Amino acid sequence: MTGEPLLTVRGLEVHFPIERGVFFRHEIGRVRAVDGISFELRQGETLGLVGESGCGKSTTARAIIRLVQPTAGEVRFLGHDLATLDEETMRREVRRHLQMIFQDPYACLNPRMTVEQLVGEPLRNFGLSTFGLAGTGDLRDRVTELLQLVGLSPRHLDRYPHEFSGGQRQRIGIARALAANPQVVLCDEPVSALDVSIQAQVVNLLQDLQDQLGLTYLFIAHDLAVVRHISDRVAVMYLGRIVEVAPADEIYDLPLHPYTVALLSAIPIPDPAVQRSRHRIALQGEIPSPTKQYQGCRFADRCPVKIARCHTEDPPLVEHRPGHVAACWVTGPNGLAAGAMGGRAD
Amino acid sequence: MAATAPEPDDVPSDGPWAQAWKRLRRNRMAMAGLVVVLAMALSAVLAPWIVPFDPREMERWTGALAPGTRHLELCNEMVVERGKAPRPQDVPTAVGKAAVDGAAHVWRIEVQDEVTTLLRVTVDGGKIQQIGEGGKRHTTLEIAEDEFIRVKDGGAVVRVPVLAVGGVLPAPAPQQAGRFVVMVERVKRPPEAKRTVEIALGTDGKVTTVTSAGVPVDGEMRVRAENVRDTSLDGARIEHSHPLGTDQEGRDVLARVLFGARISLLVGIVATFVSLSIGVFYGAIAGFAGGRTDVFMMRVVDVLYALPYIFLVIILLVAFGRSLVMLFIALGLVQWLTPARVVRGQILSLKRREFVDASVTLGATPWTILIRHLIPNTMGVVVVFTTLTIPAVILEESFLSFIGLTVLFRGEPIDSWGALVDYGRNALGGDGERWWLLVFPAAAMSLTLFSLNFLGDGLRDALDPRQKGRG
Repeated sequence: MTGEPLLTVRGLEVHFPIERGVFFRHEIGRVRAVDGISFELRQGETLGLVGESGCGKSTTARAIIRLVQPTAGEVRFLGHDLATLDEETMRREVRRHLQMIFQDPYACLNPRMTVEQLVGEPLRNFGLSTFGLAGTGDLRDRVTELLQLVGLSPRHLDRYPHEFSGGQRQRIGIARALAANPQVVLCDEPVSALDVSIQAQVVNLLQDLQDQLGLTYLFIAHDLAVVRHISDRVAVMYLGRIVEVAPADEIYDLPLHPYTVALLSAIPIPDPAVQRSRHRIALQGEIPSPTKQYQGCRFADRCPVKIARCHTEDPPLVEHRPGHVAACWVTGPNGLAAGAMGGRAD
Repeated sequence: MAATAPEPDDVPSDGPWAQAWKRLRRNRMAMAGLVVVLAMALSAVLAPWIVPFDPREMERWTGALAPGTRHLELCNEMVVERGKAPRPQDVPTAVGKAAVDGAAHVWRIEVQDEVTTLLRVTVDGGKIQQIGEGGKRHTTLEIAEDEFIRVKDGGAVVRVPVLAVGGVLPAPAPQQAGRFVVMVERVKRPPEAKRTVEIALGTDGKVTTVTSAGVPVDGEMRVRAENVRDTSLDGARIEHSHPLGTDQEGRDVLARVLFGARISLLVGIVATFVSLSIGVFYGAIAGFAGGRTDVFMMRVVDVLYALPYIFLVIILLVAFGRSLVMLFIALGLVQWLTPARVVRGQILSLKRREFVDASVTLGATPWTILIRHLIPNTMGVVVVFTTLTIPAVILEESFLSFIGLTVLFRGEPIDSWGALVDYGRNALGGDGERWWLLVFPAAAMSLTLFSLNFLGDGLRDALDPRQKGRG
């Protein structure tokens, strides 16, 4: 199922400067949205990327596809370093192989374009249609084919986005992303804006398409249940860093990082009896500001199992089990000691 | 393959424009405005077919005629010949119309032959210097009550009691500066020279027979329309009707208002198109580029905003000539500023929208994004601006005409509505006895400006992004 690394991220940083001054702008601080993360996407796999709001998941995806300029690090893909590649080469040689599905199906479609124009846009931009004009047979055929691929009907060709439901719009977004036959698709919370009933349809569609077209996904979500369902491996992000990466099932069964443990305990279980009796860990304190500079572990301020070393030394990602890495001084191959997290019954 | 998603009802597709049109149709004032504007534009385009008069054609002897006045067509002539249509067909009007209605007619026409004497009139600086008749010279020449004068080959006959040295030649004379000689005919029409001519017209509109006083005529016969009585058409005399009266030069006011509409609307549309094109592109580029480029470009706009624009326009027109092109440049220079600002603001907010990011990932170049995604999304604002800028430009041009800066086209002042209103104000008379010269052009202008503003307001409501539903 999974093979060679297709896309490799090394030490990626995205910092947004905070500037003041009307005439002489000067930097007074930085938001460290992504602060040195490394991972690889292997051929044909789905890597889930989870974490709470504001931890830098979306920024990571946007930096890979260069919607924001990375501050440092490299992104190796198809023999290029996307972090430093010029925009022209990026557009001509990379973009059609690296696509993105956006979170908000309402905002990511131009309201003034018909479905045919929307789905035909990448074909035209990448020069993949003979004539390139909406309404010509060649383009229309390919658009029809794409619509059928994502479960829409050719009747929808001449409609506008506002005439569709959220799920249908997300299907249009998926058709657009797939139009150029990409190898890697970055899914930026593709189902977060949808009703629960529609989420399953869209997730299943994404899985079907992966099997059919051999796609590689980076699947960003904050819903751990969805991620578990679709992912082969899961990476957990906290405050601009990856704190744990593991095979999907293992991370749910044996989380090594205390943050992952806390995150998992926040998943609601649709069984009142279980839900009432289980131990839940409520993290103390707000999520700290990403403008702060850290010497030690970023999670130390909120961590229930921290030791003195956590405040002074930054823990590296260590492979505790095969294919399972975590960045924590306290944890070991068998996870944290039972009861160490100080869970409480609700 | 995934299951087909639930379908919305199979209603015909509604684009954003179709939705706006639906909303606009519910706005009565805007629709009334739209109807008036379209009617005005249509009659401006069709002006030559609506009124039979050239707006510049002067019939000075008539003076200013009140609205509804009908008067005789005085000087046109018609040539009839067997086997041919009467020429020219459209003159005199009533006869011409009868000739082309496809039915057979017999025109019984009373023709008055005339006796003419030639006068040699020397004019200098618009004043009569000499009047020569045969070998004699006159200082004053009485024209009898049954006599007329007419500039030879110049057209119209004029009733004047007297021609005098030092006076003005009342007939339309060649427009020449300095000293020149005009040949003037003194026309007498003896009652005994009256005869009846019968012209029979076939269904093809061609003359079958012509008889004069009962005697058949062969070949060409010239009939002066002023003396024609078409007894076959209820005995009606051939008349011109001026529903809105004429001005002091004898020009038809309706014709002038309609042809004025052509000029005013043309100026409004062209200047608006020029200024909006500049404004949209300038604003779009500033907003899209952002940063220092944006700041620099917008400061330029601020500086131009600060100039007193009407002085700017006046200075430009005075310095570079009052040509139509200069007027477009002067008005365009002023009017592009506001759309540039508004479009820039729109682009600034639009370029942060997610569909722009989506387009970038789908391989769009910055230029594609600007042209295909951003500018089309500002079109709602641009349409509203168009309908509000056209009346503003019309008003400005009228103001310039009103203060005497009438724009020249091919050396002649253009008769825009503003120029007509200015003329009407001057010709009004102490008691407002020539009110129609001011009221009709002013009414046409006000009605059009009001309508355009109502339409603009209606469009703004119809295209208001706040009303756009998300589902």
